[in-house]
Amino acid sequence: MISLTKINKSYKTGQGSLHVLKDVDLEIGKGELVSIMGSSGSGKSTLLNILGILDQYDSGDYYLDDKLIKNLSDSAAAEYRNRFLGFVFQSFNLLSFKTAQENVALPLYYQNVSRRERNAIALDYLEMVGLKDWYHHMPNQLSGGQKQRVAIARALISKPKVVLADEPTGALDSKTSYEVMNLFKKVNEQGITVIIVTHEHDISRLCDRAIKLKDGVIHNGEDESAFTS
Amino acid sequence: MELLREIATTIWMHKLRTALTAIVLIIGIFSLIFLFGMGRGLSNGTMDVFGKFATNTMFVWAQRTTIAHKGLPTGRIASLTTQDAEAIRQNFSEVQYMSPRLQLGTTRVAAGQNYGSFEVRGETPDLKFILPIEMEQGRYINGLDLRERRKVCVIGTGAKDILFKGASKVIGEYIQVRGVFFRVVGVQASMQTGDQGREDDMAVIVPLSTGQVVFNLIDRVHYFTISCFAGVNSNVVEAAIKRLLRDRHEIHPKDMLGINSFNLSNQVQKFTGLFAAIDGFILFVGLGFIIAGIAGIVNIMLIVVRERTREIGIRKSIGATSGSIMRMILIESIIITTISTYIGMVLGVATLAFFDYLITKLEVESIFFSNPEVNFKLVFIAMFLMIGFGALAGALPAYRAAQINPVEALADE
Ligand SMILES: Nc1ncnc2c1ncn2[C@@H]1O[C@H](COP(=O)(O)OP(=O)(O)O)[C@@H](O)[C@H]1O
Ligand SMILES: [Mg+2]
Repeated sequence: MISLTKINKSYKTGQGSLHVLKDVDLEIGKGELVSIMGSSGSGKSTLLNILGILDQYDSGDYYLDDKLIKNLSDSAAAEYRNRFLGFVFQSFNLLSFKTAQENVALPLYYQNVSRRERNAIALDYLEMVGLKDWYHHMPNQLSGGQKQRVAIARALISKPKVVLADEPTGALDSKTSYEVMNLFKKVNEQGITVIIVTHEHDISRLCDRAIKLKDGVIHNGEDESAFTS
Repeated sequence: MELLREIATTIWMHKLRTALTAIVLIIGIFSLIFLFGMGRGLSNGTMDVFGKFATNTMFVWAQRTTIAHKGLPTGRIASLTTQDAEAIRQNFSEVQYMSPRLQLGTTRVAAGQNYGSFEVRGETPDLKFILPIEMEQGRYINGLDLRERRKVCVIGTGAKDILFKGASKVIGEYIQVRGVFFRVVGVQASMQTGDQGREDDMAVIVPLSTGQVVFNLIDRVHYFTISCFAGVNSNVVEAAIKRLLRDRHEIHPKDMLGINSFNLSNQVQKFTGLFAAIDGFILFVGLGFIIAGIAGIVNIMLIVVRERTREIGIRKSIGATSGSIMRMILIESIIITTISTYIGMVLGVATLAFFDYLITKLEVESIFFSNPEVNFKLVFIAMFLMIGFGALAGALPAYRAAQINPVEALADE
């Protein structure tokens, strides 16, 4: 499903450039549930943004479902993000002026699905995450766990092949974190590839596999203690 | 349609933000229309003073001479005559209407028990086409009256009220001027405001020929009221007529006072020029308001785009193209501009209508102010311009929005 070879990424900074990802090689199969582990600043978000085609890489090759993702046009990238990928963020990133239902329905707006239809579909997805009765609530009337479940419903509504989550439990207490992880497991059981960035071992342990990142380099098969944050 | 709905909800959910954006422009458009209407009111009011006067009208009369000529001393006053009128008519095809007037002075006029002092004039039928008068009843002096020297008269509405208190129909009644009876054939009402209008409403008019005989002023005329055909340069005709009259009455060709005149078209031209200048000034100020309004919208939309950075990042992360973001901001800007323009326009027109209502209802009859109005064509041109300006104002913010990098927009602070 996902194949990275020798991916490099630098950020231009005031003084010069910061080499964030260094010759990253990575294979993630279809239907896997993997975590990307690493301490703060190790390049996890950068890697996830590249996987999500939100950001571009400097060199290397990124194949998504056997297609080379390089120099995509604006509309092709948008199409991938819309139909192929689903995002979940640490800070939820719901639109504050839209109801839970409207937030979930938004990706379908960009697929030109009629309002009535997309709201009906959104209601089904809210039911799946256990928030059907909350469809008319605004984000500020929801708890953190509920917001994240709305965000997951939004990520799933366009039936993506891959769901990318950047520290989805980072802002939640441990009980809510496990509920959200259970939801990701359920999503994964439907055959969707799920990639979760986290620095918590408890979360990582719930995944099939952990990819360990340190200072922009992938370390596999090494002692877990090296990655304690 | 879906795009419009999406934008409408965004606008609705950010009422305060939208209102702030709109208010600058609403004030701008309101001011423009209000100023224009007021300027127009001023100009209408002033032009009403001229009434429906043929605006190329001139008056020509004789005064004391100031230059000795052909052995004749200064201080003479030439006696203008019916023959002068004949000469003018024969020599000037440019003249459309000419009415020699005989001034019989302010005289005691009686009708039965009632009487009053009124200005009595001898006139010819042409005057009806020059002066801004309407017949309230009956008719004006006609050619037959003139030829047969009939003892008939036309009286002003003011004179009628005094001489025939309360009576509505006065045609066929008689009035007495210096012991001579005249039958009333018409009542005239001036369409002018101000002193000139009042004077015509208080006048008693007899046929010129009748006046000359009855008051023993054979062939005498006091002054000429002349109007030219449209398109004629009345200043040139005016000078030529004066030359003719000076020649006929042995007055030095350079004696400007000996034969004097007043040309209304010069007055009208002065005012027309003045109001064009006022209109220009208002346009200038109004354009300033509009430009400020647009700059305001550009500014606020830029701030709005910055405020919405995260929202735009979210939209991009779930599949919005840069083009769709651009369209969203652009159309939002056009909607806000159009609605603001519309509100400003309605407020402006409503305020003007209210002023108009006050002026007519409370009869605040100020001579130099009437019927403030705006040109609707102008309003619509402005409206279409505003939609264009909305697109213009939205272009830069929309471009900025499209350029937003979703990674940076979504980065946690
Ligand atoms: N847009 C950017 N410009 C410059 N430096 C950045 C930018 N984004 C991230 N970085 C830097 O790159 C490094 C990796 O960041 P990130 O991928 O967010 O790490 P993580 O998600 O693992 O905490 C950090 O040192 C961060 O400061
Ligand atoms: Mg991060």
